[in-house]
Amino acid sequence: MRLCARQLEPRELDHEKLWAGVSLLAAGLALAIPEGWRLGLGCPFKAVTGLPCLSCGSGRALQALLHFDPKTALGCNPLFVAALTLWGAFALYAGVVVVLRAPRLRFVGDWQPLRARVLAGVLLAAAANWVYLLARGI
Amino acid sequence: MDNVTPPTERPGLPWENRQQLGLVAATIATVRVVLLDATAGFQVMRRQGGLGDPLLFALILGTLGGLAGILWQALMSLVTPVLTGAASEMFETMAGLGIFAVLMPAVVIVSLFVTAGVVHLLLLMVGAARFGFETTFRVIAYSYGSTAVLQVVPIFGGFAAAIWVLVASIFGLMAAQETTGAKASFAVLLPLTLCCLCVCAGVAAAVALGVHSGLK
Repeated sequence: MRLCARQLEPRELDHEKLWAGVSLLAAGLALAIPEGWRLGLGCPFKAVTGLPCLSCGSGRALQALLHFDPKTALGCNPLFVAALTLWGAFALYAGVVVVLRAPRLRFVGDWQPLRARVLAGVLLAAAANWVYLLARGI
Repeated sequence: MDNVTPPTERPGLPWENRQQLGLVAATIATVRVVLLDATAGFQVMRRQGGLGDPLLFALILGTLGGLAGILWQALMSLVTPVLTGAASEMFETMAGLGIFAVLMPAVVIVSLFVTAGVVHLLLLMVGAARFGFETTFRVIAYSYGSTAVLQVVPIFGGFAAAIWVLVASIFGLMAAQETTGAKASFAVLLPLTLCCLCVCAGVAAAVALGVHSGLK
């Protein structure tokens, strides 16, 4: 599997335009939502078990990021911050190629050999994040 | 996406034929078939044809359902003050409800795309995405829109909608992506497990990545 740059085919879904728009809307929402609401309504899993769920701390991390405090955000939920960073990087790329009408990056070839490794990586990252949240008592 | 079935091969859900059926009749028929016979419904759903139709369906019903749900919660919080802090601030003031009502359509749109994006990524990872992102999005949107109407039922409506949307999505993905129940369940339920029903103000759904591409 390799990455290549190519023009969109006729009637092909323009993922870059779509996700750039969704990202803008999500960023607007994050800013528009009143400060206290970003922390959410509390975690039912934690309320019942006393243990953090995998996304516990995300609201606090978002709050910290919006106050330009990445260190605190990372401490609250590293996986959330990593995912948000990846999303941000993709949104930036998408915005640039849409504005410049540049060729789009696409993976080509068979990705089946990689599939299991990617899945294992995602599950491992989620598990590691949970262990961290447990250890930190988030 | 070489194995995508041409859109003309499937007749489409009633909503996709609303010009002939009429808006109200098509909406009711779509909700009915998705709620009561999701497999049959999604077997006729078009896999392509644009994101606009399913988005509009989910946006209308999702916004109405979401507002009804929040209204019931506000009323309940007045009767039973079990909510504290941010929650009480959110529900107990008319201004809070007003802000939520204004933001609701944007929350619905972002939630839909992020959910569909995460589910499609997981389908790709388990080798179950036979068709493109659009197919997954259509299933998620029609499931979400149809089950959102349950939120007009007080107290239990929200719970019923939360469970029913999962069931409809799983059966929908099985029929539309032509995959197994186990793989469809994995893709639908794993994000839920990761977030374990946390209701973090809309954007918290940003756990998802925007990475997608044309992986097949």
